Amino acid sequence: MKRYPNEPVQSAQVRNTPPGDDDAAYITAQSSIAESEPPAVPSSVSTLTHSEATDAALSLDHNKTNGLGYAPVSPALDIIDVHVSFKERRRKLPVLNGLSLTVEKGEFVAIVGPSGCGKSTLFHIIGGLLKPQDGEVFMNGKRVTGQRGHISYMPQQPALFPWRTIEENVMLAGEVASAAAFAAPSVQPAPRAEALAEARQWLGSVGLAGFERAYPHQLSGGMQQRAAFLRALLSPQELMLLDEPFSALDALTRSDMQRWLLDIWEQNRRSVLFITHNIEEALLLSDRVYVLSNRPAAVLHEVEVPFDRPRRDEITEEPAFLERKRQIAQWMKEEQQKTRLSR
Amino acid sequence: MSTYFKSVWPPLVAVILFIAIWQGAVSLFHIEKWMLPAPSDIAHEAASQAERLGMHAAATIQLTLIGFVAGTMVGLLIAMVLHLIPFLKSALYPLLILSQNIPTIALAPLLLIWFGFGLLPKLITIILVCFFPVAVAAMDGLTRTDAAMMNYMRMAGAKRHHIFWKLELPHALPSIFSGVKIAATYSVMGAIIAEWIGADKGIGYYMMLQKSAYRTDRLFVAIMIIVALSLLLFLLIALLEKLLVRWRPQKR
Repeated sequence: MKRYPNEPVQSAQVRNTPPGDDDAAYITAQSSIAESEPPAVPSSVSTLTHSEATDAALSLDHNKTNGLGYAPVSPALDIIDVHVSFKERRRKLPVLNGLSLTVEKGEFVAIVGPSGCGKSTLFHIIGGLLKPQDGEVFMNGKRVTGQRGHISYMPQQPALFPWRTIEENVMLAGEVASAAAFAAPSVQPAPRAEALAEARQWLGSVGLAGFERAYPHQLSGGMQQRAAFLRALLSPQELMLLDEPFSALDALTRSDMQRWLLDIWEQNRRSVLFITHNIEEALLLSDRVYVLSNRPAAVLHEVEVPFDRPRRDEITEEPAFLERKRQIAQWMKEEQQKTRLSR
Repeated sequence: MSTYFKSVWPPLVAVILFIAIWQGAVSLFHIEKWMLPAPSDIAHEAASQAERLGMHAAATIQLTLIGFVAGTMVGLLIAMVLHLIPFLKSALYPLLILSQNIPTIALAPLLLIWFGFGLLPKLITIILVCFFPVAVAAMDGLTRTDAAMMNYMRMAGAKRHHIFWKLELPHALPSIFSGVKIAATYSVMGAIIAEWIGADKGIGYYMMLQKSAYRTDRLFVAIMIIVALSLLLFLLIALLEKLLVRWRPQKR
């Protein structure tokens, strides 16, 4: 999945259209593709897309046509030339230096980078917690720079609320996100009973049956991460941001969880941006890998991962896999040496 | 049951031993009754005064409960407002701490002059004593929200009111309860002192009467009632906490 050459230009046009026209044009252009809505859209439009989003988030086959079937679909996430720097003791400390990346609809994209490369800053930009000094963030062709509530998020620690049962934790995303993603007053979030039934069904299918009423501390680390993933999956937003989700797990649980994530994702292709320090994990799971440079971060290389889906575990033995793994490791090593020399 | 008994019997034996020594010492050294009455005298007095004491205790309980609930509410409200408006917090929080250097009890006579002998000055006294531990504990709890959970809520696009009601408040609940427990015991003390200064009923008023008559035995009865009241209110709050904070607190 290549980046369309005209993409930044297209985005730039959208940037100048008033929000109303923008929405209408985008709905017609993409007829049946699920979307999350920004706040303050006309209620009729958002009602339509809300139901679509819900259907799409749940139906297992909607992605088979998605992203692949329609040629000029705007990407789920398009970050264009983002610059961020912080002030530290009156010195300007650049963190992101012209970083650009794209996640197509239904695509699984991984980011690998040296630790401390400004990845949490990048995530805060995408989440809308930070506004970049320069550059824009587009989602589905709409400018969302500095706007919150357009992504569903799975953090590094499960961050489940200890006073909520597992099913209540899983439903949290819907409670919070529905208000943020569908701010129009005419759109009500799904009724609680419906959301609960849905949550229970999903909990059963990810191996957490019998733990619906358990509290997070009663679960193992891997189970907690599954619940946290489910919380992100049941968010109405289309783009999922997975922030080193398996880094706190032991090696065995980790590979188990990777397999589990692959299975779930391949049935239910959402657009995913996955950050990790583990090169093998990135290659195993994703369609494309971005290799980030050291601070200030920019995209150093982009690697296509051409293996068939559903992915088999054996691909980790294939020469093409090993070649890419070696190459990325080499790049990261060089990058680390560069910092060491510059110090 | 046996573990419960194991934890209860040592203090119980200590109390019984203490009372026995007290009783023995009073009769052995022939201590005057108005100096230190024997436990048996106190028990006898409690029984004979039961009806009168019941009336006074009821008045004190009523005053304590109203004052405690109002004080806790005021404390929570202050904590909420200061937490949600950081500017107000930076402006008023130091003043709030400073205000605790004023002995609240010493204000009671002043309040009496301003507000008369009715319920209001007594209530204000209790509120002044009660609100501070609740407000400080609640504010402390609200600011200590788990960073990872907060980051999740913000990244998920939660609005300010969602963050407050769904994350910060439940997260602060154990901390709030520790403040409320302190307020519970303070409120009984506040009520007694308010009754000392101006009342026509209540345990505090009863104590003032018996003090002028040098009825040490009756004063002891009153003190026992106060202790029982404090303990009861504390246990009630602890029970409420157990019901509301069902999840196990995080070990981290």
